[in-house]
Amino acid sequence: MASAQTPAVTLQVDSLKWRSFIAFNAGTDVISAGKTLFRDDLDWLNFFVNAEFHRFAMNAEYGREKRIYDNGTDLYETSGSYFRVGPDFNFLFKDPDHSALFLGARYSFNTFSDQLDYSLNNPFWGDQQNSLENGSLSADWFELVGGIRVKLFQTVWLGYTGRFKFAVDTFEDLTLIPSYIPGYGRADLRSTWEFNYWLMIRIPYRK
Amino acid sequence: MKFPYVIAALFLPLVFVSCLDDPDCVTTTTDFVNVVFYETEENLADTLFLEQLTAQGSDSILHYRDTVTSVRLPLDPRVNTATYYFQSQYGNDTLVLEYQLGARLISEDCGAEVIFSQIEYLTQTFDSIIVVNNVPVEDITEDIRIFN
Repeated sequence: MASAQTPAVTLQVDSLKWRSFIAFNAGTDVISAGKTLFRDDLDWLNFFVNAEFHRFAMNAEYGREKRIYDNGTDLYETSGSYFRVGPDFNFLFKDPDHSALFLGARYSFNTFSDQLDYSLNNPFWGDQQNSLENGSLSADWFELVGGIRVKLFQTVWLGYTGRFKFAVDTFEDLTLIPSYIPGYGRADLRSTWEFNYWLMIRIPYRK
Repeated sequence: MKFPYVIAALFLPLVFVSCLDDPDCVTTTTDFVNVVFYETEENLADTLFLEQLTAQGSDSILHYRDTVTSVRLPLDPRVNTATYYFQSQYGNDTLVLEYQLGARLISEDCGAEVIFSQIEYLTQTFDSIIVVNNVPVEDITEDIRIFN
């Protein structure tokens, strides 16, 4: 009787394994943090947390970004914060070190504001200074992501995420047309790329 | 994962990080409309002798004692309307254009640009007028037809 029940039990365990919780990860993007340290015209930080399961991970990311473009005659400033949520599929789910090579997707959304102070040098109408601003805008877009995550030592891990961002809102009906959307990038592009280089901690739930 | 592969894989993105692109300074929009004159009866291109063509809000004269078949009317980037005064062999005429104004920063190097769209006429004193293109761009040489 006992040997006849074994395959059924094994099947049940396998079917549950994919959703078994393995670890909790949290990290920050060292590229954006490094740029923020060394540039006066940029304040950009990215953070993420995820819950790692056997083959999948569920991610939540938060970022904030402020950029200033100043060429002496025109000054553009944009700032906002953004969230990203979505799953990853880990192709190295059998790796004994729990390294990850993953593909995933994100739904991203933000709120931001921007302001443009510009000068008009028109030979017919004359010179003039003008200022426009958008007080509160929101945008959303989708991302396809891929990357790796490897152990550095103990609970400290490194990894990167490459992300292809697309389907962002257009704002061409506004008087001030945004040039840069925090979290997305150049607003005139229908798709953009970004790399994040993560320094993270991994808190395992089970070995 | 083997350590050398890990190192190689981890530093691969640094190659791409420095490859972010900046927009070029090319813009296809213009800050003027092309007006072409036509005869009302024949519906053919007309030649106007412009005694003077001026715009409200500017001291400059666009045309003075010119024979023209078309003119370029500069759009006022400060407000969303522009008024033009024509003095020709047909008499004195006025044209008031209304449009939507937009502005954006192209890039730090390129600076800001003003974009005109939704151009239409508010009032006019010619025989008739047709707006054939309401977003002025460089490739289009006829935005408005004026019939005398």
